[in-house]
Amino acid sequence: MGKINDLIAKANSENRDVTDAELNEIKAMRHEIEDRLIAKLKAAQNP
Amino acid sequence: MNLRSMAIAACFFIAACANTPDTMRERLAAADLSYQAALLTLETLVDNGTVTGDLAAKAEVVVVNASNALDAAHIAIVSSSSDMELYINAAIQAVNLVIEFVKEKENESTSSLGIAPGGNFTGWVWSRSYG
Repeated sequence: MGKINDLIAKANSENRDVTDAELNEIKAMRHEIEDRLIAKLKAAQNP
Repeated sequence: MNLRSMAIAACFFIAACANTPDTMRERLAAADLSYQAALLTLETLVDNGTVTGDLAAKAEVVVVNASNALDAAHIAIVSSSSDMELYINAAIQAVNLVIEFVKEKENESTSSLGIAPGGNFTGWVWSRSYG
């Protein structure tokens, strides 16, 4: 999570915007968390 | 406090202290950051049995909605869509629903996440002003 925040800080320090690659990395990390969480939520609906 | 609780507490702190997002891309990245931190907390609430049954079904709906909205905003930005701001605002609203859900359930939870019930979540909803 700190890594993502670092991406924004790094972009600011380099006086540039967040790149496509950085956005893709954030998205990939999100999907990883979502996949795991949604599986748990489905399981929790039928304990 | 165990390591997981410390990590989650750190996520809350980082989200609250994130640099102010100026550009559309930064706004998307920051919204995603806040959302991912909320998901980690929600995962703990599922693990400890706070979120089950119909509550888990509701959580799934708001999570899937936010995921789709963030994906749409992502596509709008990388394709330089003229409507990107609309997509970003929609994503932020969907993310805020997840954050509000987690905040509400965490306040009701008696579990220890390293954050006292009713603790300071103010930094999580910074994005509301963009809505």
